[in-house]
Amino acid sequence: MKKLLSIAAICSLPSLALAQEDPAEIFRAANQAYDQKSFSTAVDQYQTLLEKGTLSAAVYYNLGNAYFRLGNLGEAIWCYRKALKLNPTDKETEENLEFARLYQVDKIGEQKSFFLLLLFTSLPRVLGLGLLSWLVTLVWWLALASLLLFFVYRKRSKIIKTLMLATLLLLVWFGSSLWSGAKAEEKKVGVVLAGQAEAKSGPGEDYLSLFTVHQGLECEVEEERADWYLIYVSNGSRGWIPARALGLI
Amino acid sequence: MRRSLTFTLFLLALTLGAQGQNVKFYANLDRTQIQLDEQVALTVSLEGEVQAVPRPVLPQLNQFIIYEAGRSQNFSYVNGQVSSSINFNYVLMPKLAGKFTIPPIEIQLEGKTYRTNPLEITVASSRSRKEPLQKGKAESQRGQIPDLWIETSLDRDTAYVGQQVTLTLKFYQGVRLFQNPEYAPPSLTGFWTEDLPPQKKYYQTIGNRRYYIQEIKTALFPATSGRKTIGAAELKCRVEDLESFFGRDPFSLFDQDLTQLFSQGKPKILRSKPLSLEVLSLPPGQPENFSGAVGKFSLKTELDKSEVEAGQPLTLRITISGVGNIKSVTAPVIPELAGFRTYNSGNSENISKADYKLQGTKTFEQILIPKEPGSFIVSPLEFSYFDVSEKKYKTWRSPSYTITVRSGGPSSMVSLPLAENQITNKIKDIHYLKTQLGHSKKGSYLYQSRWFLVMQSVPILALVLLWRRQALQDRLLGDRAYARLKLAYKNACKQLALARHNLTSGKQSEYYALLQKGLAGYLADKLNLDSTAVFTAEVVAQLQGRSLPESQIQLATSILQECEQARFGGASRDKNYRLRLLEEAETLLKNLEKHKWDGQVKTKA
Repeated sequence: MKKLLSIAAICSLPSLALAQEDPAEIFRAANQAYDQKSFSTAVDQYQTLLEKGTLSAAVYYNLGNAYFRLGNLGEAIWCYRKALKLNPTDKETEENLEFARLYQVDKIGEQKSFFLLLLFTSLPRVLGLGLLSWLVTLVWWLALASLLLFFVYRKRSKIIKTLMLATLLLLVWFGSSLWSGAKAEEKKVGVVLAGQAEAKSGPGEDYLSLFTVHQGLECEVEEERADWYLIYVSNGSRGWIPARALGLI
Repeated sequence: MRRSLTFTLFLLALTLGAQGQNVKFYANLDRTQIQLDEQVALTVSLEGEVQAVPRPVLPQLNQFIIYEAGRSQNFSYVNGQVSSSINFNYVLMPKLAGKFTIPPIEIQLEGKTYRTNPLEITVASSRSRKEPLQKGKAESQRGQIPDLWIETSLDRDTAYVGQQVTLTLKFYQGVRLFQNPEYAPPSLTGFWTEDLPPQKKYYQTIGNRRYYIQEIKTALFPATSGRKTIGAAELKCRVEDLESFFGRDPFSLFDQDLTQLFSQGKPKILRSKPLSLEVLSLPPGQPENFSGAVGKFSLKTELDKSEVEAGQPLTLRITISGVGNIKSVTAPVIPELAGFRTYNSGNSENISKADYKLQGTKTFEQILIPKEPGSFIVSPLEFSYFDVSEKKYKTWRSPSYTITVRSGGPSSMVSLPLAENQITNKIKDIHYLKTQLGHSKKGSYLYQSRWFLVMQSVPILALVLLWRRQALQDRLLGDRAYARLKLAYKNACKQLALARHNLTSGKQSEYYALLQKGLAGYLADKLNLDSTAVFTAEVVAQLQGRSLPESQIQLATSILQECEQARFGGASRDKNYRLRLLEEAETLLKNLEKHKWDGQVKTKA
């Protein structure tokens, strides 16, 4: 009987291993650990998923939550930003990110933009660049169709005129928004992961300290040199911080 | 106004015209005998009609400190003679006592070198360096109280590293100043400094003279031990100089330039003597947690709550207050707290400089976030400082705190304290986890793929094609000749196809009629003629005129004649003959279609 049991145990090993390898299983186990408030365990398991190459906005989102519960603001914001990059229109991720930002030590202050400019910069955030690309295509086709009807087939009714004008305006709006979104997408962005870091006037410890940044601060990376990043904060400050203190998104 | 401008220009013209003539270059001192702590004015003058005057080259004068005191330029017009003079002013402060000669000063003018006469000056040893008040008194007794002087002093001769030493600068002012004096503080290398406002200003009578005195105080905190030197402070000012203007002879006024009376006064540079301070090292036996605080301080700690749910923050407030360099005081080391995350939420300072002593309060706020339920003890914090009045180290110890951590529900799991200036938000907590794993596609948006460009350009292509098609349709509808030209072959083919159909089944006359209609119609369409005209010699002539090969014209003529004869002559042919005739007609049409008809047919709308 004992022998039978041991054989059965040996036979079941591969299936257990398989279960452990299954990303869905690891994800479920990580969520379970989170529910049991074992946030560190949850973090480890979400990390395992990422190391295995699972690319999922949900993993980053949940990992962000676990980090947030552990009080690791920098990692939490980094994860939410990663999740948003994969799924830009997810409302919950966006709200969690906004909530986490309330705890940022560095209050940079919102840069006031011209309201017309907001029309173009907010659209990629609301719709996502994928959907916006399709919309640009659709509006372009409609605009061409209305031009065809108006000029080639000489359909000069009010409906056609309105369609032509509306599609051309929409094309300008959507096209400019897509362009601004694409430009923003090209920028290298990072989040400060270290508790705090001194921004120096050059890429080295010997340079003068210009200002201090704290974990969770989001910034642009303008240059990279020998384990140092030149960061740009939205209030116009620039400084070099060690690469280890920053997580690139 | 206009007259004076003309006069000035006239003078200038005279000056320029007679440039380089009668140049006089000389120097003089306002006194030839001075004390070591006094100063002498050196004036280098150039007279004559010159322009673009360079700066004179002063010889090396190691015995003096030299300050430039500006330049002045005058024009004079006496008995029809125009002359101009430029004065370069310097202030010399002797470094040594003795008798010195100032070597000739040189200037280069148009390749020529001019030299001044050497000047003799005697510097007597300084009067005894006593307290200025005494100096003032002594001088007043001799009737030689200076108009202005500065002095610096320290409130102590010895101090410990980090102990406050107050440096006081006093400026004694007995005459009117032409502008605010420029103060250059002494070099304070090796000291951490802090200004101590407000400036003290008061009047004091020294001798029989009333002086306005200004005091500037600075707190110095020596950074290292040893004998330290505080350099000389300097004060630059301009004072009224009526004596030099009027001279001792009241009638000399008429020899002076009146504009000098309203000039900016005589420059004066005041220097204090350097000071020395003995800085003592702190005595040995420093406590382990001593971080360099020197003065008199106290420690107070406060924990905002003793019972909390897991994940909820507590605030430990550490306040250090007292007299000393409070700005450089660092937070006491917080013992390791197992089961807690600690987070520094910021420091605040409340600095006071009452009685010219740096003092105040510094508060450090530490956020403690328990990770799990249980009972925890925060060990006492310690803060040590060196008490300068008692000359010994003292240590403050805070009480220990017991924290009870309860397990918290999901709604209480806010991990971090809200920072200051938070934006009010309706969300009270982060959203819960995602339960569907899902897989995201890596990489690219539609706009990044090449299909995006294809999707944008294909409709343009379609638009162009449709436009071309519509334009063709429009022409076919509006231009009959063009339509006939373009549709001739298509229509002819239709007729020949019908003729082929009638080859076996129909009557021969119908066959020939269709064949004739096809071929004759084709030619008529191409030539834009009435189809009845194909039989005429005119048609043949037109075909010949369009460079058609003669063989094709003959073939067309013969087929059409054949059809004519068969239809109306009653000639009967067998099926094979008719088939051959049809095929000949088809081949002919194909060959004719290859011919370029466009441009040869005059089209009309």
